[in-house]
Amino acid sequence: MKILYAILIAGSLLALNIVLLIANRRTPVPEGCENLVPDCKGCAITSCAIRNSYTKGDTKND
Amino acid sequence: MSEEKKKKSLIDELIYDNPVFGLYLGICSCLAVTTTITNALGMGVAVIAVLVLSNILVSLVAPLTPDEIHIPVYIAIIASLVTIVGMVMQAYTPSLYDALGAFIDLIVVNCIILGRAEAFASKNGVAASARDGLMMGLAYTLSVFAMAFIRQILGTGVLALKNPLTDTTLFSLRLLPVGFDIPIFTTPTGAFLVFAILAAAVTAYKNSKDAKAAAAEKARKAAEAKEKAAKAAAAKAAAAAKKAAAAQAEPAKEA
Amino acid sequence: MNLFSIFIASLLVNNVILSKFLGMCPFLGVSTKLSSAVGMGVAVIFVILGASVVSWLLYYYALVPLGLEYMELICFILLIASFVQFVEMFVKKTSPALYKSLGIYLPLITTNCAVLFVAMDNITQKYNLIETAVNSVAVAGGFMLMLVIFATIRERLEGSDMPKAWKGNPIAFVVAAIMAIAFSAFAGLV
Repeated sequence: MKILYAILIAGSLLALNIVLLIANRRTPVPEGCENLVPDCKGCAITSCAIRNSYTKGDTKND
Repeated sequence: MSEEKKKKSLIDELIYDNPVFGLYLGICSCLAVTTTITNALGMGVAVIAVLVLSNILVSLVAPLTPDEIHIPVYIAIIASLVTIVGMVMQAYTPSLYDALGAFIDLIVVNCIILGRAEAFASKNGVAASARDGLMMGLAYTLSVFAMAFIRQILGTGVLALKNPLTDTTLFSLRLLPVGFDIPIFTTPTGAFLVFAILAAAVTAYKNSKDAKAAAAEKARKAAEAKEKAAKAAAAKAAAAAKKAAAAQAEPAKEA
Repeated sequence: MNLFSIFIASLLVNNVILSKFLGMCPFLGVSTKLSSAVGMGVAVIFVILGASVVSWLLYYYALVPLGLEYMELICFILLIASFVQFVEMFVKKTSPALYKSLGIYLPLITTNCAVLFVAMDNITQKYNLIETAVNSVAVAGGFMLMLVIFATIRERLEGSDMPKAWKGNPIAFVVAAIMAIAFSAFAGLV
């Protein structure tokens, strides 16, 4: 029974995260801010989605 | 060029692509657990376990998840694996668990694991991902072992290894005379210093390898250009000789 | 343990970067320019405060009553990731100026070791809600303090002459070592 609660809580948090992620992607970046790139050269993961989401263009058309 | 890439030696994979000293991933745990080699090896084994299992699971799950939402799903998978590994460690190696403290739970935000899951495991098959996880884990373990080795010997003068399962000392060698150890190496300052030296060493190795490769590439290109020029000259000479022979044959005919 | 001693202990004595080694990954990346350091610092304060408070509430009002303490790690990390997404969306919609200065650093904070550590440490130390908030602000303030100090030093280091192998991150670690000695002077303060 407890396991059901655990899966429920974890699942709902995961769903919340996904919903907020998609809502965030759909929110357009305010004008004047489209070309900002975070200055993050410390970590070298070139395929990091966080880094690439700013070079690909993170607006309604994503 | 592709054959050279495939035959990348083991040394290359462990040192040139080293995630800790080359790419600066997973530094937080590296600096904190390297006070003794027992802790370092224990952390290394935990990271290898989580890396291999997470790479396998992610390579199985990645084709089924839409591209947009893969990060939260990977985070959930890795967090579950870390919780399980933490519980196993708490049960079988309680002294190691207490020594490592919160850093076992912090494996979940260790940049190496999420980075490999995204860069490699989501795009490759299960066997390749498992192997990649193992190699990265071994590179990490090697790095923390090297740091812990230096810090423990210089900081306490004693090289000691404990068996975490039974909490008995496996061996304990005193390498520096009593009073000649440098306690600063057991403090955060020493951690930063040793890390800086090892990072500079790996960067120097990478730079020298890059310089060698660039020089070899230059030499190869120069040799190719020379060959081409020689061929062109030979072809020109052959054409000129043909022309001369034809010119000679004509007057002979006319005559 | 009164609030002031918690604040000083987390800000200076057990500084999150110099004695607990947390938050090094974004720290190395963002501490090269002063403007980005300030932006990142303020974003981190905001996220750590919010995430710690919400995690505390989740732990004591949902996980403990159901006896699910072992789900702490999974729930906290998902909660932190959701909180960061929410804050970024909120900042995008309300203030472009704020987004310009700190919104772009928000996604980098999800994998910041310090956020998860503070959330879990508040539970381990059994702080109540007010102590949680004070501890979180202190830890994040210590992070921002370090970022700003380092940015000013590294800006000067950029033009210095040194062997090629030491440029960039290795020399930053040497600077951190010296700062660790300086900050260890606070050890007897609390």
